[in-house]
Amino acid sequence: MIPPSEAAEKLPGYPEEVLQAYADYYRERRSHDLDRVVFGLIAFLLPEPPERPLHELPDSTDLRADLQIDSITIAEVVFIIEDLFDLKISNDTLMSLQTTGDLKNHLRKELAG
Amino acid sequence: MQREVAVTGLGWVTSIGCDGASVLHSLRHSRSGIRPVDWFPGAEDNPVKVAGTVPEFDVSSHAWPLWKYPGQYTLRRDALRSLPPHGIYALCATLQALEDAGLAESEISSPRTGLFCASAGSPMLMRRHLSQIDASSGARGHPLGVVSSISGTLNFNLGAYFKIKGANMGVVSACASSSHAVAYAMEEIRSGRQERMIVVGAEEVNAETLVPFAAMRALSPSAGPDASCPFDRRRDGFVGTGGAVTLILESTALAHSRSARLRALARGWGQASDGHNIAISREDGDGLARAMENALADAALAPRDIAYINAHATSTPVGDLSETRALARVFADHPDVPVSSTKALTGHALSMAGALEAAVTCLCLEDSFIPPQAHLREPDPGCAKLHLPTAPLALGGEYALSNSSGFGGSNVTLVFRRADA
Repeated sequence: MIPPSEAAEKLPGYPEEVLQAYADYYRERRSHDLDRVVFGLIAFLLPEPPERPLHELPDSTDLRADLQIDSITIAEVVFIIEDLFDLKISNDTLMSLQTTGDLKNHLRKELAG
Repeated sequence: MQREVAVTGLGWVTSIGCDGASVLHSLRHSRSGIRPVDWFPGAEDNPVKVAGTVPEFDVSSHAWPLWKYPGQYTLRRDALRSLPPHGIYALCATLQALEDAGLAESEISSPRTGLFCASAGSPMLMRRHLSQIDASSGARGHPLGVVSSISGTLNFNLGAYFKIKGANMGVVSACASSSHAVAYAMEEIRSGRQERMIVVGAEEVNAETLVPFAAMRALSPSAGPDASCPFDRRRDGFVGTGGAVTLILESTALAHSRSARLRALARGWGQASDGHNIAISREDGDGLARAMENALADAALAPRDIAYINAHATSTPVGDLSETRALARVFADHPDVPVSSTKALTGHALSMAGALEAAVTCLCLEDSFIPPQAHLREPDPGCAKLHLPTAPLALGGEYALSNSSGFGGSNVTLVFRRADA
């Protein structure tokens, strides 16, 4: 993954809490911080700020049906994640990510490897 | 029988004002929107020293979270992500025009309402997206790169934002684009295919959009707020501008039925092409002359009926003379018709120019005045026979023309009438 200073350059104007979560994950590699980064990014791209932090939602929360996230938004989030964490997420994987839990688990697995 | 068309809403994000009152004040008092720009700091031979910059907005960053726009607009942030920088101008101008027209969401998102837009897209974002793709040998590209940068970007974004259900189309004919958009929007209503049309012209004001015109030697290398001086002997190229202007067109019957305020009537239009050159106007102005003749015929008017002509004149040596000859031919028996090019104040808005000047023409009809030819110190002898007022005049009639010309020799003339005539 890229250093926090580079992440800040790639995400100009993004919320400070996302950048802080990224710095925390960079330093400690805690899954909780990874979730704060990923779901903080998603929350920032939603029409309105969510009522509660997305990373606190149950893992069964459906990205499309429950959060009303369209496929282009998911592709945009994945594009950013790929940049930050130096990952490659295939189209097949992208289509298979249905819930917040799917996304969390996939990224944890990828980054653990 | 063709249906009548009314203009019921106007929205402005321009170099001379971001609301109707400011634009009117600028036109009446010849207040220029042209300001110094420094897109290549430190360059010894900077080709662009001035532009018609847009006040109250800052969209200079490629990153949408950094954009600044007036607090009066409440924009959904998910809508910003796929916008080009000029898209935010377009969104704000359209919200303003829809409010001016007094339209509810259900009237906007209706099968009876369509949207025609014109812009050159976003060369700035296009360059960024293609650079990412190039740097990764094709492996990496932003998912919103296409919809935020290609020339249909306004249709995609505004169509989705306003949930447009009628016609949704982009128009590309360079600097005649948004005149074509107004014209074909008029046709949609006249024919009964739509009851209401939203017409948007927009452009960016940045190096990527404007500096390529310097390579064509089309931009003025001059500095100062009067660098744009149509019909003047000093003119040496156009000064670019951008922003957005939106017009709401409706069938007059529908507008009356909902007691809408009519800003002007759109009475006809005409087009014709030069058949001459990829970018240079035909010297004798034949194409534009025929466009004006076709417009007059479409509106069933004679040259003598016209009380004002908002000229295309961009302040280029060849173009202004070409238009002068076209005007001399069509108005040979009415040489006193007042003519002015408001590009002296605004700059030349490229694809947006037609919408901007159509709206300016409507504003002048509504306010019963003719804007002067600003920055005219020494008229070009070749243009001397034109009546170029150097101070605002009272409007002496009901009808006005707005001319536009674009690359490839496209010429469009729009005809408007005072709403209260």
